[in-house]
Amino acid sequence: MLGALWLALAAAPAHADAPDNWKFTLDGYYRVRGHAFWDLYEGQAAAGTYMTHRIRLQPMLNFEDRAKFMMQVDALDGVVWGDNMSQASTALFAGDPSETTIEGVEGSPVKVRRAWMEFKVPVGLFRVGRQASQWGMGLLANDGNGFDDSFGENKFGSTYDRILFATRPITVATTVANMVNPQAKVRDIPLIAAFGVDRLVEDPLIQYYGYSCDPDETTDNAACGPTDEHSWTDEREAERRPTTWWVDTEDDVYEMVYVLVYRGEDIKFSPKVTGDLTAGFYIVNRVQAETDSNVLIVDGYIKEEIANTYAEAEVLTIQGDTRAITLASESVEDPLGKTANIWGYVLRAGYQDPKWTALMEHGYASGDDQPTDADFTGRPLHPDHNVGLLFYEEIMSRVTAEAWGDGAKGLWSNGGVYNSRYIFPNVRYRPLPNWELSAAYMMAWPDKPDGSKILCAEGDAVDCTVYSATSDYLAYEVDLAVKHRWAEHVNFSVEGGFAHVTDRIPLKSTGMQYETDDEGHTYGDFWTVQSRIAYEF
Amino acid sequence: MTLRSTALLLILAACDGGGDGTDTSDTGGGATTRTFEYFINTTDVYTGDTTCNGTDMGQVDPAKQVMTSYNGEVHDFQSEDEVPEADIMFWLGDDITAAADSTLKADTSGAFTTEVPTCTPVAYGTFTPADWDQTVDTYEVHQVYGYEEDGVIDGEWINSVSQTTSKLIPGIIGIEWDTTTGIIAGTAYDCFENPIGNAQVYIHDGSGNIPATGEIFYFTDGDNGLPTNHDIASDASVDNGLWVAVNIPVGTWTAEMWGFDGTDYVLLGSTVLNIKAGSVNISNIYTGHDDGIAYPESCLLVQ
Repeated sequence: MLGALWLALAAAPAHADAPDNWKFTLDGYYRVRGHAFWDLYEGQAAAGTYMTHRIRLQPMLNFEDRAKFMMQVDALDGVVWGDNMSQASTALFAGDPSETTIEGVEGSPVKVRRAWMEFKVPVGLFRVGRQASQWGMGLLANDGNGFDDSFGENKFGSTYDRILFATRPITVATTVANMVNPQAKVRDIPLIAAFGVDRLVEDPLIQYYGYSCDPDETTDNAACGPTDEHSWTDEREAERRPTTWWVDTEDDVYEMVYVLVYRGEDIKFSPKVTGDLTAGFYIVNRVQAETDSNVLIVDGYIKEEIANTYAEAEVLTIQGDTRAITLASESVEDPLGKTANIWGYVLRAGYQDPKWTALMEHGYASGDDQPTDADFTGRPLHPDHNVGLLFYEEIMSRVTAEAWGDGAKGLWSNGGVYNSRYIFPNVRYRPLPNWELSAAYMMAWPDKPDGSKILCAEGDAVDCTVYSATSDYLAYEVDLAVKHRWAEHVNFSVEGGFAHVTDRIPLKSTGMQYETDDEGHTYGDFWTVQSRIAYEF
Repeated sequence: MTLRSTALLLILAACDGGGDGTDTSDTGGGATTRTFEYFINTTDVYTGDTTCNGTDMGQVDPAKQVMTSYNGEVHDFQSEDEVPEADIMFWLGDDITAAADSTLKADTSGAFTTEVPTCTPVAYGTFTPADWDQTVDTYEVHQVYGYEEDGVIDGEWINSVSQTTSKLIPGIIGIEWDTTTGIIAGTAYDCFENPIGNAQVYIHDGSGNIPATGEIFYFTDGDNGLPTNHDIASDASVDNGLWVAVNIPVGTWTAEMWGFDGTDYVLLGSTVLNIKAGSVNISNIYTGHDDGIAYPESCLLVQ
């Protein structure tokens, strides 16, 4: 999104054309994706297969590049082919497909995901509305747009209700300087600064009470006093909200967004060497008064493309204090108090030319071996930062969901890199125009085994109750893909993957397929083939 | 959600396993020697009135052991929400390995009606179809309903543990629950059915043989009634007496409650129960009782 902002800012201010010089454009795609999994679940007798739809429409109303209105509308997103709601009472006679998603529930046939406006002012550009957010490699903010992954697809996408102002402060200054003194010819520096405000919550449906005490019991905690019986939170029906539900500002969650990015293109590093360099910071300060939450997120990003070399890196950290997470610690004085200390990064570097791309990727997402203590250290990378087809995307996603259950959905990985570090070397070869072959290898190691989602092994630097695992690593995976585009608009791919998952992962207790070796340790071998065909416009 | 459910949420965050880094029998993250000392090792003196231990706990009045109508409800153990259409079994002989004496189904509001004997230990189980993915098989043995003058037991709940709760328990305490084994959760009580502080639980087969798997966790912050994690100094329940045992193999086991009196470890009480695969078993231990059965005052012969 900031890249798009850059393009918008780089565009010359429109001159006075006809007063109603509107342009309407429609971008988007219709995509079908097929999935086949062998031996995914315990007792699975044959390959499980399903196919899903997605229609994505992105209309834009553009007035002279000075004022734009844009939307993103999804239809049949994730809807599984067929009538899966027994619309026909006899399945054999089914004919009218339902809108059932892979979660087994009816999906929304049409959803307006985003709608925003964008307009230029003399010193910058405003973007207002429900909009995508993308920064760097997408470890934290990932718009989920397009087909930008080597393997797999985007399923989520970061969307915020945001007011954003972006400007090029040095451009503004040099423009003024050159106007004052045209002879000066002050050089511009492509530096973009942006400031935004996100409203994340106006009023949470789940009421937060924080620390409360049993009025029938004595306690030495200063926070305790006579109170109605309730826990830290209370579920509430939307219909039970009073008409003044939006008035209370204590429960509002909002964040301030600060961006500073340098984006240099065609920079001359030497008389013969030119390249692009992008570097910057994305800083977010998220607050909520009633939970005493004040969290600072710092996300740094750098990318270079010089000659045939390519390197990029993103490092993020989340720091701060909160009482919003109701997994309490042992502290009597402040059981809900948590201090966030979360880290994640991805480094990617290699070689690229028109035929070959060879990259080495290494990434990390910090874990939390004790989710109920006062240190909140675990958070997966964004689930649309895909690393392979199977281990993170399918296995860990299911294991964390099953191990945490519905009571802690916020702690599921959803397919993101979870409590681990990995390497992901991958190669892409383009033998002919519109053809690409990809191969990748992934290997992952645990960060902080927690004993239930990642099992502990002897020698781990964590405090576990049971040390049942023996492997040093979590899994390895091999992925292959063939991608082709024809008729300019049709995007086709076939992707396949194999993953070997070690006894670090609780396959047995989470219902996944597993084998047992001679020493009684469990492991799993998983296969998938997936295919996509999309019409892009 | 009420404060009772907050207390029950302690189960979800049960803490301080016997095998953590403070346990001297744990060889630093490797294999452990599962001995009595592995489970019973606190040097914090237990709290609570245990003067009844070793004394005559009173005789049940046979005249109070009568079949009585029971209008009950099935509620979720954690949220306390009604569990509609749950299947219910009662074992009037308090033996869940035998054929159930009554099998019934809760209505859409979780309510049911049956007959149970008063002043007699019984067991029950609550179930929902596996396809619903809603609850885990929940058993509670050694239940004793007090004598009712009007011949009706009204308003008492029986428990059902949700899938959500059963997944959160191991998730939070950091252990993998092997569903070919079971979970036991209970409270350690003193002579007056107040929770005992610093009690520890030891499980064996009745002959001192410790199960091959199974870890005991405790709740360590009884004062504020809030859950904690498993990385704390104490290895025993503090004031609330709550404990949970995860991965107890299928079979019949004796759960003993021990306390440190400043000099020695003292056996305070025990209970015996049968574990089925994939089940959660709610079972309390009462001081002075070796069978986990505590009769209400209304059941006892007046001395």
